[in-house]
Amino acid sequence: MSPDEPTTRNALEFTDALSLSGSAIRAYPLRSLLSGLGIGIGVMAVVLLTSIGEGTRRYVVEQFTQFGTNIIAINPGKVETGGMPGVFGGTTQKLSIADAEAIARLPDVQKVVPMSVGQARVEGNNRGRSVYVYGSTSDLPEVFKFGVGQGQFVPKSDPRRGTQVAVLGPTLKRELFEEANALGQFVRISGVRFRIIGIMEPKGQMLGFDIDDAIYIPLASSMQLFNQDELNEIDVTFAHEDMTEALAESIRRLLTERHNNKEDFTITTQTAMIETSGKVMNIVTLSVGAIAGISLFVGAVGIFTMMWISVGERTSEIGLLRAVGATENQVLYLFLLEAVLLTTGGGAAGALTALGLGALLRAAVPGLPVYTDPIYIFAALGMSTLTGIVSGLAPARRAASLPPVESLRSE
Amino acid sequence: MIRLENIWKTYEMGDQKLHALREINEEIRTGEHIALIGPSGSGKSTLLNIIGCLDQPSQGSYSFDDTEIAHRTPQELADIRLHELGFIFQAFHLVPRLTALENVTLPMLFAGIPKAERLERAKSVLASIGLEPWFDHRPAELSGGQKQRVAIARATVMNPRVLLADEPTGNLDSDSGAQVLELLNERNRQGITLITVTHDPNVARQAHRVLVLRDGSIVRHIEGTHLQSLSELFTGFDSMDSPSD
Ligand SMILES: Nc1ncnc2c1ncn2[C@@H]1O[C@H](COP(=O)(O)OP(=O)(O)OP(=O)(O)O)[C@@H](O)[C@H]1O
Ligand SMILES: [Mg+2]
Repeated sequence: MSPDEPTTRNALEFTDALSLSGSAIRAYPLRSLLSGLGIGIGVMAVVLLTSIGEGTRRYVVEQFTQFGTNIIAINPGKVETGGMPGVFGGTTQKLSIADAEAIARLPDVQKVVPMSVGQARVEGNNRGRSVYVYGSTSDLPEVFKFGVGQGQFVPKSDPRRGTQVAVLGPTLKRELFEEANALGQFVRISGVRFRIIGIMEPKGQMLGFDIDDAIYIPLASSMQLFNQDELNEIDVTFAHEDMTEALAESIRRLLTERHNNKEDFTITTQTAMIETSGKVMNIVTLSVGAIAGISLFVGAVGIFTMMWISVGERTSEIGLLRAVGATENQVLYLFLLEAVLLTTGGGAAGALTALGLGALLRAAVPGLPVYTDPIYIFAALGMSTLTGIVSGLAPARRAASLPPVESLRSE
Repeated sequence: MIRLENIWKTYEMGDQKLHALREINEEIRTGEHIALIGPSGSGKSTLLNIIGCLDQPSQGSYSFDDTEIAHRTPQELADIRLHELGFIFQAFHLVPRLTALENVTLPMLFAGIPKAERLERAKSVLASIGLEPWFDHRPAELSGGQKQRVAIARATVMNPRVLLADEPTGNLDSDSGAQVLELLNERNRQGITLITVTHDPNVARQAHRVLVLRDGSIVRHIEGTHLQSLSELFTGFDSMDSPSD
């Protein structure tokens, strides 16, 4: 007996509460496993689905931005919603080389590439192949970040005057000439003879389409070849991403003015493209969110049921805790912690399983984009913890409010 | 230190009233050993639980250390249980999944005593009652006597001023019962107030005073030389039952 001992108390240490609640979970391994399973499966599904979704989003963005982000494309015709191309007719203006030249004079514009695109059969070395033909100017490699592997690209010249020179994409070159030297050789594009002056460096695929299976010729030659009187596209580069909106607007104003005050063209910025793919991803995220909500709810019901039964079974233990001096809050804390341990443990196991499955998927299907953003892991764990608090609250309060005498009697 | 004035405990069951305790007036001094005896249902446990701040009287005043218990918050009552009182139950009430050492540590956990000190105190208390080899054993691996000794260690590890034992030997054979009693008496000799509910005349005989309850009332006080004549009292109990109105 020591009268000067303190009669108040220090807080129940977190680590001690953890080991006490942990021992209760370990005392019923199967039951704990099953009740944590619901949350675990939910978290696993969510992490895995968001990993695939995020991987896909990153893949799409990467595809769009492989030509750089500081690029604006202008195409003829209005495809935006609300626009009805041609209905209000009158004289729609063609997208012309003069338009491209006018854009080039705008401030902040770095390079402008007018393009004429068509599909044609290319023959050479006694072989033939149908490919995309890009008519353009000398700035194309710089604008699209293409490299020239051999020889040179279409030289700088008057865009209105064609010459019969061609640059081959590496796939086309291989298909026609295999390993042989093609420089200085001739190909026929729709029957017209072109001299090969260069071979591009391999660039790979965009959204599954082989960019290297193509041929590049001067703009005017292409327009003549395909009998076109307008450009298919104008691409504009500029110095800084921040300028995107302002520049797109000044291009729009300039072209509208040049086209008799009609907006008969479409301006596409990289930001807009990424935003569009972002919208698609939002739908994916929303569906994943719904799955997450449902599975967490099911998991929460499981935890609630288990904890409620557990409190009922352990009334005598709870009475004992109160008899040796535990406060209502300490009992509440212990049972809440038990629920949180179950859900967070289940969530962590689910997240780990998802990471493992993700790695397996990547190994099994090499092309499949799977990317696990750590944020989703933390969010999933946070949600699991929250679920534990929500589902454990009522049982824990029940435990805390049990009258100690009655609890001790029940044995 | 313990003063009970006109204590009533009434349970209302439908329109029937059951008086588990009626008009209890009693004073218990520091260091006393009190035995509560009486037939089953006479209110012994009810009285002990009220003294132990686990239960509140329906009427009357109970003061512990000159402070009225009715005015204490639940938190303060928990503090009193933690620091001033130790409970020993017939059914031991050890937490089955915890080892002997962990069971003894339990109250200190709620007091927020640091781990090192906790272990040291629990070990020394257990060792002092010869349970050193059983530190890491769970209750299921202990005999009844060992369990009750662990429970005594748990009840005393916070150095309480009052020990409350509800039929501590009720589930034990006579040898382990005697051992447990000796431990309790030893604590009492060290100055701890001891209140024991018992059916066993040999247990009651070791008390300073015996309070006999019947139908919720203290019907007799026995002390000194009169303690020798207890046995006949107990023989009477078996035929007695005490329903209250
Ligand atoms: N929660 C309750 N509700 C109704 N009646 C109760 C309650 N608790 C106790 N009682 C009654 O109060 C009376 C006294 O009970 P108590 O447990 O104090 O008896 P006891 O003397 O300890 O008996 P025993 O020797 O059998 O342990 C009994 O009639 C019992 O039925
Ligand atoms: Mg009793």
